[in-house]
Parts: sequence; C-alpha cells; structure tokens
Amino acid sequence: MLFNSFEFLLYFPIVTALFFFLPHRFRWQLLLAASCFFYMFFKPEYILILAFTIVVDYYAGILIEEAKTAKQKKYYLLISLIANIGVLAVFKYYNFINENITGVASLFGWKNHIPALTMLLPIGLSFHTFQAMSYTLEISRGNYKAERHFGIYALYVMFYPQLVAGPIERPQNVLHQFHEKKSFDYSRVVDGLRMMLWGMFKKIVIADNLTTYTDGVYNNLHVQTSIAIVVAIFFFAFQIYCDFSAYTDIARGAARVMGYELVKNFNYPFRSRNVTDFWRRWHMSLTTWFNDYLFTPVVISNRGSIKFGIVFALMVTFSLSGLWHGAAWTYVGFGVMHGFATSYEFLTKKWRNRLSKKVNPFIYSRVSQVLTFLFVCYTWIFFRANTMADAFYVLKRIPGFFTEIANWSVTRTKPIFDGSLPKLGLIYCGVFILLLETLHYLDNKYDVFNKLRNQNIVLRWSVYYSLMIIMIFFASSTAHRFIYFQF
Amino acid sequence: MAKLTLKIILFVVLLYIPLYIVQKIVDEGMHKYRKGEYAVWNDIYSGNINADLIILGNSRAFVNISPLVLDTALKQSAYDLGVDGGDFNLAYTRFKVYLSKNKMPKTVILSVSTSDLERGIGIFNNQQFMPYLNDTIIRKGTAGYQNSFTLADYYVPAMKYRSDPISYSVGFNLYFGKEVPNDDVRVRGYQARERVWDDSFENFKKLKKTYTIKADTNLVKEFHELIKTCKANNVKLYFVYSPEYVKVQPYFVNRATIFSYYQDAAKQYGIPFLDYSNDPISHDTTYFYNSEHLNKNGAETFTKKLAQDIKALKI
Amino acid sequence: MNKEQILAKVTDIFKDVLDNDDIVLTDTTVATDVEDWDSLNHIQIIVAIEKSFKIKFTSTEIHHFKNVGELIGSIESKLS
Repeated sequence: MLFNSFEFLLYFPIVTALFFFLPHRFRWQLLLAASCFFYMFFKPEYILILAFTIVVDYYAGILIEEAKTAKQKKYYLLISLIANIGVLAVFKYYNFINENITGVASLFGWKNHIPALTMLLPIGLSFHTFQAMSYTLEISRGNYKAERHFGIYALYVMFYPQLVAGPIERPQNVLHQFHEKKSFDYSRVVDGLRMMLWGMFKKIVIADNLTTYTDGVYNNLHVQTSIAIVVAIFFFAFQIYCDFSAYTDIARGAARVMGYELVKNFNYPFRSRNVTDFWRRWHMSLTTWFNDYLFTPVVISNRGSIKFGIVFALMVTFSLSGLWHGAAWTYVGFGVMHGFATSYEFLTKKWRNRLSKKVNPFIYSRVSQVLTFLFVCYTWIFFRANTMADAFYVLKRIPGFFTEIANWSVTRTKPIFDGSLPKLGLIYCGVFILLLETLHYLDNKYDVFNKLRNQNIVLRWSVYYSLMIIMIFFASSTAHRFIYFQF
Repeated sequence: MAKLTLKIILFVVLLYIPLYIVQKIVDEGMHKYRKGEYAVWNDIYSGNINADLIILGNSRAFVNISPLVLDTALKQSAYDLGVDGGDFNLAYTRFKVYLSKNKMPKTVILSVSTSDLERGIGIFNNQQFMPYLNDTIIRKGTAGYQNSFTLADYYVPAMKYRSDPISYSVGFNLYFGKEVPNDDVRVRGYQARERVWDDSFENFKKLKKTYTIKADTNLVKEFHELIKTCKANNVKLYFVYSPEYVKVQPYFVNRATIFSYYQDAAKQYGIPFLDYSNDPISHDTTYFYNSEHLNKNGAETFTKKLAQDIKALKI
Repeated sequence: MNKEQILAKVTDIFKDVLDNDDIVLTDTTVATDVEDWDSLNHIQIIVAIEKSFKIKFTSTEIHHFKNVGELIGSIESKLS
C-alpha cells in the first residue's frame, strides 16, 4: 500500500482505532496482521521472503546468544548474514550479476547460458534485510539480548510504517517499545498526525509534481534543451529529498501516533558543508548502519596504516552503499563518487581547517554549502539516469546550458521545455521549492514547526487547512511511487 | 480519544462541505458546456439524443463522417459519438454511457482505424470525463491508463479538476449564467473542418519510423461484445474504414493483421465491411488536411458516397 | 604511569587528531561532548593511542568504550 494512496487514508485510521481499542496483549497481533496486509497489498507471495528471513534470524539470534564459544557465535551470525544477503542476491542482484557475467564472457568469446530471472523486485527488500542483519549483528556484539517472543521479533522486521522504506531501525531502539504498553496521549498523537500531514504534503505536492517534470526530461533526454536538463538536475535533488524525507515523516508520524518512536533519518541535508557532513544528515539510518557494520570494522582491521585503511574503507563502503540502492552500474558510480569525495575530505581535513580560519566564516560556510550541494546534484545525475550512457550524455549537455543562456536572444525563440510539462506546472514546481526552502529556513531559525504546537486553535487550524487546500488543488495528477520503495 | 476523534471529524466536515459545494457548482456548470467533447457528453447525459443512427469511433468518426449528410440521405436521425484520440475502449465506453441514457439505435456505424485495437497509453483530453466521474461506466472505462483517475479523484471533492484548473473558472462562469467562449463546436457530435492539406505528413515521413500495432486482448473482447450487443438488439451494424491517405498506409507494417480482426468478425457475424482505404478519395490530398482526417469537402463527399453504398446494400 | 598522566597524554592525542586545542577531557566525557569526535576520528584516536602507548586493543574493546574513563581504564590495565 502506498502512503500517498486513498486506501491508506482509510487503512491508517482503522488500524489505529483498533490499536487503541484493543488491550495491550493483543496489540502486537493486530500490528503484525496489519503489517502483513500492508505488505501483501503489493505482491502477496513475497511475504514468504519476509517469513524466511524472520524465522532464520529469530533462531540465529537465540543461538548466537547461547553459543558457548566465539567461534560458534561467528558461525551462527554467518548463517544469518548469508540468509539475508542471499535473499538480496537472488531477488535483487541476480540479473545484474548475470548480465555482467554475460558481458565478461563475451569479451572472451564465451556464451553465458545462465538464464535471466523475470520477476518484480520485492519492495523494501534492502531495508528489511538490513534491519534484520542489524539485529543478529548487535546480538553477536553483545549489545542486545535476543528476543524470545517470536511475534514481537517478526513485528520488529515488519512494523508497517517503516517496513518498505525505513528508517532502518536498530533492536536497541525499537524492540523494547513493542513490549511496552502504549496509552493514548493526546499531544503525542496530534504530533504524529502533524508529522504525517507534512510528509504527505511534501510527497503529493512537491515530490510528485517535480517527478512529472524530471521523468519527462530523463526519459526523453535527446530532445531536451540544455536548460531543461540542468533544471531537471536541480529539480531531482528536491524531488528525491521531498520523496524520501516525506516517507520518513509519514513513517515516524504514523508510529508516533501509536506511541512508537523511530529514529531520525534527515537533518537538513542541503545545509551540509561537506560531503561527509551530507551523509550524517541524509538517510542517517543507512549511514550509521554502514558505519557500524562495515566501515568501522574494515578500518579497524586495516589500522596498521591508518590513512590507507580509512580511504580503503571509505571506497568500499560507498561503493557498496551505492549498490545497496540498486543493481546497476549507475548506482555504483554514484557511490564511488561519494567515496572519492569523502576520501578527499579526509585527506585534506587539516588543510581545509586552516583555510577556514583565514576566510570570513560566513562566506566560507556558504561557499561550502553551495559546493556540497552542487556535488550532490552532480552525483544524483548518475542516480537518476536510466543508463550509464544517459548519465554521460547529461554531463555532455551541461556546458550547453551556458551557451544557451549566452545566446538568449536565439534560445528564447524556440520552446525551452518540450511540453512534457505544461508551463503552469513548471511554475508550480518553482514555487513549491521556494515554499519548502522558506519553511526550512523559518524552522531552522525560529523553530516554527515546534512552536505551532502552542499556538491557538485558529492559527493551527488555518495552517492545517492551508496545507490541505494546497494538497487538494495542487497535488500531482499522477501519484508516483516512492523512489526508495525499489531499494 | 473521543475529543480528538470529534475534532478530526469536525475538521474533515468543515473541509468537506465547502469543497463539496465547489465541486457541485463546477460539475453543474460543466454540464452546460458546449465545447468539443463536453458537448457530446452533455448531449448524451441529457438523454435527448435518441438517434436512429449512431456513429462510433475515434476522431476519424467525428471528422470524416457527417451525421447531417446521413440524416438526409438515409432518412434516419443521426448522431456522431466519435471520441477524439480514443482507442476502442473509450469509443465503446461512450456507447455504453449512451445506451444507459438513450434508447437503442436502429443502426450503428462503427468507424474503424488501424490503431483502434491497441490500448492507448494515456487518455487524450481526460478532463472531458471529470464532470461525470460519478458514473460507474465512466470509472470503469477510464481505468487502466497512465493518467487514469484515482480513488482520491472520485471521493475527495473538487480534487478531480486539479490537473485542469481552467475547469474551475469555466464551471463557475457557466453555473452563474455567464458566457464562455467556445472555439470547438460540434454539431451532433460532428465537426466539419475547413482546412487544406498541411505539412504534418511530410514531418511524419521525416521521422522515418514505422509502427506495429499491438492488439489488446481486452479491447478485442470489447469489440466482440459490441457486435453481440447489436445482434441481440437487432441493430444494423456496419464497419466502415473511412478514407485514409494511401501513402501513410505502408508505415503501419502489420496493417493486414489488424484488418483481419475486422474482416474475420465481419465474416463471422455477417456484418458489411465498407473499406474506403483504397477509394479514389484516399489517393487525393485535396480531400484531406492530414493523412487520417478529411476536410469539410472530403467528409461531405465521402459521407454521400457512404450513404449511397449503405442504401445499395439494402439490408 | 598514573591515571592523570594517561589522561593528559590522551588529551594531547585528541587535540592532535581533532586539530583542536580547546579540548578538555574527563572520565565522564562521551563522544557527543566533543566536537568532531565521530566514528572516523574515533578510530584515528585509537590508532594514535595504540602507537604512543605501544598497546593493542581488540575490535570488541574499540566498539565498547562508553566514555573517556573506560578508555583510560583499559589503557591502564594494558600498561600494567
């Protein structure tokens, strides 16, 4: 089920009302059933994938904890990791690996006879397998006690608000919450609803309208002007931010209504002053996952020569985190670029620190923000482009932007945008981005989202009504899926 | 919890009522609109057409076949239900709506084209359906396209018009009796186009593309359904392939396969199939304004011929 | 070497790695109290400590230091 669908508008209140009416001991059953239904709305048979990993990890968790020797612990952990990564490999990376085998084989004039699989990618696969792995990893590190209640463990993996697109949770943060008795707390519930409203707004109004434009451009690159392409590059940045942060907001909001707190996933990523900083503010739950379970162990085992160790670990981590998003070289390219950027930042840290002290701090930070934003937009070209060739084509077209602007008198005589989006839609997009950034600015400076809570009912309701009215009259006419569902 | 529930209900009601009123006004206003497809829909829903002869199809129906000519020649009141840019499903949907509001015609002329049986990717001019989204026939008929309507369009008041904001102002103006300019007039569904051969075919040739039409199984099923409905109600049915500029025909590489759908059905059910794609008219660009559409003179000349041929069949 | 001496030496290492002379550490200092003390810098600090005290931590130890006190305690026990 999509959060931005009419079905969810009915589903959520029903599940939530039942949740509060039922006594505590039945609630986990309700949530588990609701989560199954939510997931099976997409493709029912894929629930078996979830069932498989849940059973394996549940027993692995207990076995790891009860293991007498470190070797045994490692052994059971390995089983759990192989099961999860195996599921990922089969359902997500099989065709990618196979295609590359074919490619390599053809270099030597061989034929690859392994057939390709034709199936839909199960939604949210990378999210729930990662969350499940974090469970067995934390137990093996002795940070968390294995969950004995099978239903509660299943709920940890399946909790429907964050099942298909995170935030990727840790057992320490959420598992205990499923045991706690949640009561109806008026202000908390309203808080959660408010969060959901803001998420819906970002998704339906901003992200989906931008998608109509960026899809039009990226799916038909060769007929576009360079101006249209450059606009699409920037629009995509806001689109992906609004899309993904909206999902997180709705997820966290829905959970909060029922009394569950999920981790923060975004912290104004476009304010980042360097790429390393960006990853601390963007999809934070994925960054910390990779940091704790991949980056840090790789660095520790290579700490003999620390500089090499860190650069090596950065490259490995970011390449894999690129691949985490999707089985395509474009995503690997995206990751590798971030690996290079963070390595560069690591190696030049002291030098940059000294530089920053010589320059006016206001100018330095603004310039850093702009450069970081431009870099991230640049890498997102690879993220969004349908193929590697498309991505390079986009890069090739960027200089044309300046020639077109320089020859404005010629450029203006022809249509700049190919008509895949009506002019009005384009203006809307610009206005929405402006609105988003204004609200972000106000929130950052005056904490307006928090302060709204204590305003009188007239002001509060007029804000809600404004959002609702804008949603009704300006929602994108096609509802798009959340980008991160496919990961 | 009760307090919050009440507040939410109050909030929703306060939002719903004004929006509902807006929608009602716009809907009613649009029901008076005389522009293009709106005029046809509004005629259909008024239930006053009750024609003896109905023409079905896409734009090649309402541009190429004149009900006014058929009217005088065949002495049957005629109405043209052609849907601009519609595939067979949309043409058939319109006919189903027609039957739900009007009496069964005596004669149906189904204007067929090469691309009819391929399902369109999107609905062309989907705003024409917005004022009538309450009708379940419309809901079913418009489902399954890229720009299909969603549950939110059906149930959230005023939301359905958001992708066509001009509807709000047109609807309000018409509701309150103000004139709205109309540059797209249909007369009994028909539109005579006084144009001359333009450069669209030359541009089309430059693309150097050929097309393979993929017949959609559901659309073929609906095609047979229409035939059966006509048979069951003793409606005389004719398949008509109106003139099409001959030089465009080779660009549709599987044209013969698509034709076989019509020919086979014609044979199976004993339906006359009048094919004008190799008629002298189809060789002469003075009758056309582009490769698929006749101009006013072409349409009238052709329809007279069609009426003669139908009469000659003496069914 | 006593606790104070270790703490002083560790503080110098922090100052050097984090390139910040204003750092003051106590037993209860945790990562969030010190600007820039993130996981990346954490490992660099650990490596620097290992080198300068000529000791080795296990990877479990590296993961489990909760505050500066625990780190100092571990160094002390390894030195003795």
